[in-house]
Amino acid sequence: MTMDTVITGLGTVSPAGLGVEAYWEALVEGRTLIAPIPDFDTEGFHVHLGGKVPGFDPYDHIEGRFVVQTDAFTRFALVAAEEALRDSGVDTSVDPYATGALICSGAGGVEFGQREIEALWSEGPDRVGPYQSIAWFYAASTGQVSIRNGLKGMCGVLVTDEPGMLDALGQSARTLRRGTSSMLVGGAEAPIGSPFSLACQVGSEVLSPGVDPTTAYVPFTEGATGHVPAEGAAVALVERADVARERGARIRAVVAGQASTFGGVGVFDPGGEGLLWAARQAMERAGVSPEEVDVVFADAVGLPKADADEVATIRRLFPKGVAVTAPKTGFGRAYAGAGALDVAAAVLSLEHRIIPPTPHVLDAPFGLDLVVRVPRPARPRTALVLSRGMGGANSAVVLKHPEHA
Amino acid sequence: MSQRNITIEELVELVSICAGVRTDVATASTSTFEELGVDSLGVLGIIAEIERRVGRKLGPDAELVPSPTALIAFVAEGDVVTADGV
Repeated sequence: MTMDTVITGLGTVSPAGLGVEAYWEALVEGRTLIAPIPDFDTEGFHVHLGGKVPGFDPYDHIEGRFVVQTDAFTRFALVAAEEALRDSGVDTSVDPYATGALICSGAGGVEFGQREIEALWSEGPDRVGPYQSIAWFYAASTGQVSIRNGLKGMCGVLVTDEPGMLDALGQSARTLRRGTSSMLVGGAEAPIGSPFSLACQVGSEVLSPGVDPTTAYVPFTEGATGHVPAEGAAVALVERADVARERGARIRAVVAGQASTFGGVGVFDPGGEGLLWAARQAMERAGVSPEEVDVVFADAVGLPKADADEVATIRRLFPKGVAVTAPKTGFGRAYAGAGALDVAAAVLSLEHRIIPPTPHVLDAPFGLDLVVRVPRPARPRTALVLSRGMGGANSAVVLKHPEHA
Repeated sequence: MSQRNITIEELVELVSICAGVRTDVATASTSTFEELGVDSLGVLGIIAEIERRVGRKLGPDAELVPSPTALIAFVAEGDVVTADGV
């Protein structure tokens, strides 16, 4: 199954700030965006660092009526979706039924929920606001993005860890083939804004206990002790290639192939078999050989076993070697937002002809051409993005530069 | 001691706090909640806050009132009143 889906709009809210430009600038610099979690005392959590979106006042970007009824993860989705839509130039008012939305979430609106539960316990059930009924919900971002932009096309939500965005790209390709003209697809997450949010994650034992932002999240190294959680969102406007061409849109990247597998419950795909299968299938669907892939955006969990499995997978896929990067080590893993931010990074890498480095990892491990320390000028035409979720899901997507699709 | 009624000025404030919609007395007096952009959950939140201020429950019919002026009348009369469609 070859795909005829193209990305014509991109929006991000990340620890680098608002907008794709700020995100790309930080990636190329390999900037450290990891810092102590600022909003509450993390003593007792065994997790102290995070990648936080800096200085985000929702009232600067979103109408008050949306602010009062949304959790932070939905606000990030709204802002990223607005950028993606503007970037694409699609006028959704022409036919509201022609555009859909699919925004992934792994944690939902826990921060909003904590506030309402505090009200419940301190003042009683009458103090729980009615918007609790919708704000915590995983589908809240899809719903609010649809409402705010007047979209009436197909909508959905994938409740996932990191692979969500990659899966969403695959799903949207099928939706577009059935007649929808365009879709806003993305992932949004706000998992470090409240003690309850963080408490929901510490049991997973995959988060780094480190307190030094430059050494806490260093996958593929002997110092790997897990990853740093982050918040943020990325949204892409995808549309059918023929629709995009007809309206003269700027095509930012072609979504050439995608595949998903499931590797096992409660673990990151032991052995890497599931990830390997997903990657091979995505490449086959895209019609690209290993020699044609110029860069791999690695999952980079930061746990020794998972890292070793991923290195083995990449070596089996590319026996002759391939450039590999994991820019997320500069700011952390934003769960469902992480895959989305990786897809955005891959699109920008193809566009700018630069492979951003893997911050904080100082040397490439044996047998892996990891881009470290400085960005690598290149002419990547095809990128492979790999992703695993802690629930065992794997996903891979092949993105192509439009001139080489 | 609880107050007995609410004023349009108070309601303008509650519309902002509970539903995130900024309005003024003149607009609120002549608009429905829908016209103001206050959705049904927003109305529920406003009613809950009024119930706290007046110290009594307004009952399930309260959420059926279509507009700020009708809600003020409802708090005063305990009945759904609609005047001139507002």
